[in-house]
Amino acid sequence: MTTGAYPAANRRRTDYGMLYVAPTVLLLILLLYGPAVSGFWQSLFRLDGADAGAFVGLDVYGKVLAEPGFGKVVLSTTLFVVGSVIGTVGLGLAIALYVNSLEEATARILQIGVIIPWAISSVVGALLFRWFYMSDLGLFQGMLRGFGLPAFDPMSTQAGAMTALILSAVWKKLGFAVILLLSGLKAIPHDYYEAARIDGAGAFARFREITVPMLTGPLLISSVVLGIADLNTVELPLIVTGGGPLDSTTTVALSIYQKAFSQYDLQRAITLAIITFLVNIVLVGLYVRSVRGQSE
Amino acid sequence: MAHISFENVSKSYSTLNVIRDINLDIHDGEMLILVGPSGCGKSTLLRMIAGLESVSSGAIRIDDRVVNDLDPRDRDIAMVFQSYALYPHKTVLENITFGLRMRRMAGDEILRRAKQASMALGLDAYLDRYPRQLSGGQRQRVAMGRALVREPKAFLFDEPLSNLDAQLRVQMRMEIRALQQKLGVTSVYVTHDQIEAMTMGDKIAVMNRGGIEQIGTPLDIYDRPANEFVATFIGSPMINLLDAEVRGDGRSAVTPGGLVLPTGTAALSPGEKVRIGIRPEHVRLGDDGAPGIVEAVEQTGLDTLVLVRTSGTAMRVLIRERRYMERGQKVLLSLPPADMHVFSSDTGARR
Amino acid sequence: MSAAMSRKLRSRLSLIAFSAFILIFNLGPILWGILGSLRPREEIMRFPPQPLPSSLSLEHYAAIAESGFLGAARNSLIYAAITVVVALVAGSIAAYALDRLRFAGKAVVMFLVIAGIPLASGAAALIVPSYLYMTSLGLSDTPWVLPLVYIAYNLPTAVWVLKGALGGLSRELDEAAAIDGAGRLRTLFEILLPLCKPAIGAAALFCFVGAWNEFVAGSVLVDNPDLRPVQVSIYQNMGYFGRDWGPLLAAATLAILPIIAAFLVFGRLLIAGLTKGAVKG
Repeated sequence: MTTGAYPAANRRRTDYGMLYVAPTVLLLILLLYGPAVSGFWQSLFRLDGADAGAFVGLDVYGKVLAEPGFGKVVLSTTLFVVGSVIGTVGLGLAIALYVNSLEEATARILQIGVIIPWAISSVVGALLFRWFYMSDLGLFQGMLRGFGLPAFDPMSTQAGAMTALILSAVWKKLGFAVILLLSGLKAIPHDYYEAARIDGAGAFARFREITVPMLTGPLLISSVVLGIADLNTVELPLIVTGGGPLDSTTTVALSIYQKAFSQYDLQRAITLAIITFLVNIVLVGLYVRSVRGQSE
Repeated sequence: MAHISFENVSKSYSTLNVIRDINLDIHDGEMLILVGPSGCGKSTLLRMIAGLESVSSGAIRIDDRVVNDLDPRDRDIAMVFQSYALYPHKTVLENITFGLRMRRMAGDEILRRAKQASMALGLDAYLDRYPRQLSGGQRQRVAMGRALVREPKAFLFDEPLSNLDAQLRVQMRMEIRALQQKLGVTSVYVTHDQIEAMTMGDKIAVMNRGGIEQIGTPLDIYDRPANEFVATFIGSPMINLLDAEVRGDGRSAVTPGGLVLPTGTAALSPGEKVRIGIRPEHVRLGDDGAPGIVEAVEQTGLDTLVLVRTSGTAMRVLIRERRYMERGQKVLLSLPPADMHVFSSDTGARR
Repeated sequence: MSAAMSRKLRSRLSLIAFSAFILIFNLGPILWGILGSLRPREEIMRFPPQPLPSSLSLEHYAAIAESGFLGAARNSLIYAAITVVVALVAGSIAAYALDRLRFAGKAVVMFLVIAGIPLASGAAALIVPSYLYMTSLGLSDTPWVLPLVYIAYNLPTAVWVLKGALGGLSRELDEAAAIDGAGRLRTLFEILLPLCKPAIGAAALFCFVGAWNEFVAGSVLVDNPDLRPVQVSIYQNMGYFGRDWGPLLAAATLAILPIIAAFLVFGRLLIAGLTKGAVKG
């Protein structure tokens, strides 16, 4: 029945809401949404060279899309994003199910354990991942040798480099998926499982018929969020693999970054950035929908 | 202390009318009870006085000043909420004095009033505690104290006792009433509990579907319900209502089952369809009258409620003593004409 | 041994094994990195690697201190502090309006906030446009540009977390305060926000971590070494020190320290905040 904070004066006070959100809205429009819109506008003009400022429209878009390197970037980006999301959500779900079955104290230690890599910066994370798992001086390679297994340099093959890059993303973001899925698991009323038990459902049937359907929201949200994060991460490919070998791990995010700030090809960079931004918009739309679905 | 009045007050959300054309006067120092079933608009009406709900049309006045567009803080009213709405992070003292602090009252005056209120409510030992450290009854008193220190023009109570257990409720009911009478502050009290309504108010307004069905003193409403709704809502066990048709003499009516009921003094036209109300305590079991058979007996310890079937209708009969009766027992019912309430079958209004 | 006991033992062992795997996979790199930062230089380069250092040494910390790292850390602390303060103040007022008031355009503002949460992590797509935008505004390479960008990146999350917490508080509190004579902002700051301390802590932590960890914007929007944030400094040291891992690990350890410290104090808040739908990868 309540219509507002104290609605006697609602008619006169409709403006207060706008006033209160104004600083936030201004900051977001000027600093988050503004650059995106102005970026698209600027991408339609020549940014450098003798004819800087000339209108080029969508010409550059056509050129960028037609370049042979573009297909390669799309392929490695897709491999990286899809592989990382599946790996993170899959392993995250397994760990969440496991942690959910533990008693409170153990569960908390494991939760803090998995969330810490997520909380440290990508630069430091990538650095430490490389040092621990990939360096011949790292403990992981040392342990392999200790078990009598051959040491290997993941950077020696394209597949090895991509695997290392994906694993670095899984390692970095795993905790996020675990926490989100775990809270989703906790939100499933215990009654459902008891009712299903009484109805004669086995463990797998309970998982398939109760857990999975009730977890669609958290699964979708974590996949979308991780997809956006992986699509846009510059730090991981930049530091873990440097984009190599033979550009096989150069994702679109790294490509934009390098084109703009090492090769100073702003024109191609911004065109690629706007194309990526469009993909982001689709994912953000999915995110907004699933968040709204969750909170209803 | 103030006089509160409603003049043609309505409130609607788009097409839904939640308050319909209310006209009401609450006199200085009076305690008015708003009572009705849930969803009848009683809380909305109270919140309109407080300024927590807007007014769609009409005028609400406090001391002849139209307050429709005034902020709650400018109306000089205090309110006790159903959940108490104590500030969980403030101590009892801070809770009680917050409203005075907001009005920039001098510190020593704030303390004086807080002391006075906490003495009156027996809260002096708890001033440093937080609400979570108090029992339900103590929290209720803090909510009262917060209203009391303000020394406002009017107190508004929104079902303040509904979260207390039965015993405490009876005690607080008396305390609130005594306090209100002592201070003489105009008060409006919302409840769905008819016992609270009957015992606490100077006047009762019975509400239904956004409108006021009847206003009057408690006994007036009990003895002369203005319509069928009021008759059924006030009184427990519920009044007996029997469909009947006025007989040729205009002074009695007969039910489809053939039970003849006196209609007292009301001027009725023969053949009129009416509904006759008889409160259970007014039906007598005696040596003469209509024959009936006992169908069920409920003993409360204090009194006895008997369900009697007579001429095809079931009739509740309340006996103010303990009497042992059995199912199937034959009894005679007498129906005193003076205690009959006659309502029109069409409108439900009292005839 | 009875069957029940051996089953119990097996499940106990699998519990320990799986927990150990999770902890080693996740924390191994971090612990190994911290250990490495304390080893003498020769030992880091020794092959094969030793599990435990033979002696502790602070030489790498001395090396990193001379590289300008501390100045960068100080910059980042300032950027993060500004981000936290502005995001909490602007964010809590906006969250109040979005949760408690009705106004025209509310749905649009809600959309800007919710969409802003994942968008802010879309750094790659935004960074070139942002670079051109900030340059055209004359903000590039000024002390203001990074705090402003970090505020914009973290504000949506702060609003969302705080709005969730305010939504859990009874409206009767607002009404009691209104009758007591408190205005909207006073109700927010004196009644409602003190009851949202966990959410404020979580929002502050998100903003701090977000600002402290940011790399991409920091690497392109400022050029002046005096304005450089901590993550950029670490990255540049990677080029400078190359395969000399010691100083890099020391820098990494120093960069993790505030995060670990914040975690030990607020870890549960962060997990709770994350759970409440503050979802950012």
